[in-house]
Amino acid sequence: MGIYYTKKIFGFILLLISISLKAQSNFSGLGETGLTFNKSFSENYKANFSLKSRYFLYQDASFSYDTRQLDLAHFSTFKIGFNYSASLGFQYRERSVIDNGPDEIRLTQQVNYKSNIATLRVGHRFRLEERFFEKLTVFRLRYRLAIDRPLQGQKLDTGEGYLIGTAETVSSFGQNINTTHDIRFSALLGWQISKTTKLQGGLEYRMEAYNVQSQHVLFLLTSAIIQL
Amino acid sequence: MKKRYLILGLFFFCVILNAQSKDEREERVKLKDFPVKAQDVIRQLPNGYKRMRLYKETDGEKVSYEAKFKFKKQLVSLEFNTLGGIEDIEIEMTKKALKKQRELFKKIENFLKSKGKKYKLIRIQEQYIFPGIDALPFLLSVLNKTYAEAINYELIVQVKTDKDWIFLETLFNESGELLISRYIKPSSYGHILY
Repeated sequence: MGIYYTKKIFGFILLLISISLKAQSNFSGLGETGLTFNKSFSENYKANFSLKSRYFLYQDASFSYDTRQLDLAHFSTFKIGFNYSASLGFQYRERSVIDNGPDEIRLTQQVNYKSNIATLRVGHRFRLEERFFEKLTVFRLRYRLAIDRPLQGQKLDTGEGYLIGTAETVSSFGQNINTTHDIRFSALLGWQISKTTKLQGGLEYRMEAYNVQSQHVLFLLTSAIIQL
Repeated sequence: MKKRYLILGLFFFCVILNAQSKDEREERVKLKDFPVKAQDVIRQLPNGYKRMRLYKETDGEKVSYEAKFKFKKQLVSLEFNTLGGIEDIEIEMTKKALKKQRELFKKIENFLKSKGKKYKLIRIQEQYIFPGIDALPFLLSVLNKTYAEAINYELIVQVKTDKDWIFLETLFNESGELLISRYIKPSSYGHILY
């Protein structure tokens, strides 16, 4: 039953991607590669550090490789209930040196609830973000539904794969700016290559500012997640 | 002289390696990967079972084969050893059903409360241990709910202690006495959470 729904979600995302590709004028393709380190100090407290590089692969109706930004982030996560966790995040985004864009300091407050339905794991993640740019501050509210499952067996072991599907709404507010809403979908395939390391890759489709003028963005995501 | 130290060093190295490989893993397999005797038992199961899934489990040195299926609305897990002999059969039960057995539940709860302030029952199973002979009558009596011998209860729980949250796999007998309690590692979420 899990595989049935997984295939449906994948098909839906592919459909969205093909629709977005048709709307060429507001379409761009990017890639994002990340390296993440996770460390559990106890079941109560876990720390996360990540370095991500984002780059253009397709813009203005042509293919070209163009680095856009570098993100350095840290999250501190606390277990607050049997299936609940709360996290505080700090991120620095470097863009001025790379493409003359604005640098950003981002603070995140997050709450997550997860549950299991057979081999499927369902997570609900709520985020409040404060994005500090040199000339303005933007507030964001996000809700993400994530469903994941191991591909071989009932739990993920070394040498086995897994699937993650997500759907997220992002709303941005600020003084002197229009309120915008985005929606994002992603489908990722991962592999536990050793006891400590996972490799993940997939696609994320974003429909940005759909209440103003939709910008369609497709991401090719690749990452390595290491457990320290 | 040097040779002796080298051999000793190698020996300890192998011991350490062995200790580190105490890994619990399970993978989905096909019926033909099961021991022949186990395949025969599965083929003789009464009609009406649904969603048969077969797994091979490795827990350090121990290897076992598990058949999971649904029969008459019960979630069943049938475990075989490497020779194909039945080890046990486990059937999932609800918290409500466990609470109905008041004496048993009280004793289980006392144990859990001794471990920490709060607890949460994640999964409860009735465990029927195979007596060693008459496999098919044993299976049929369990599946048809006519089994009258002693049964155990396997509970997977999460407990909040003063400082930590722990996952335990526990086994109790009918009188509520603890037979086994071991820590289990929760699955990671750090690759999805952020």
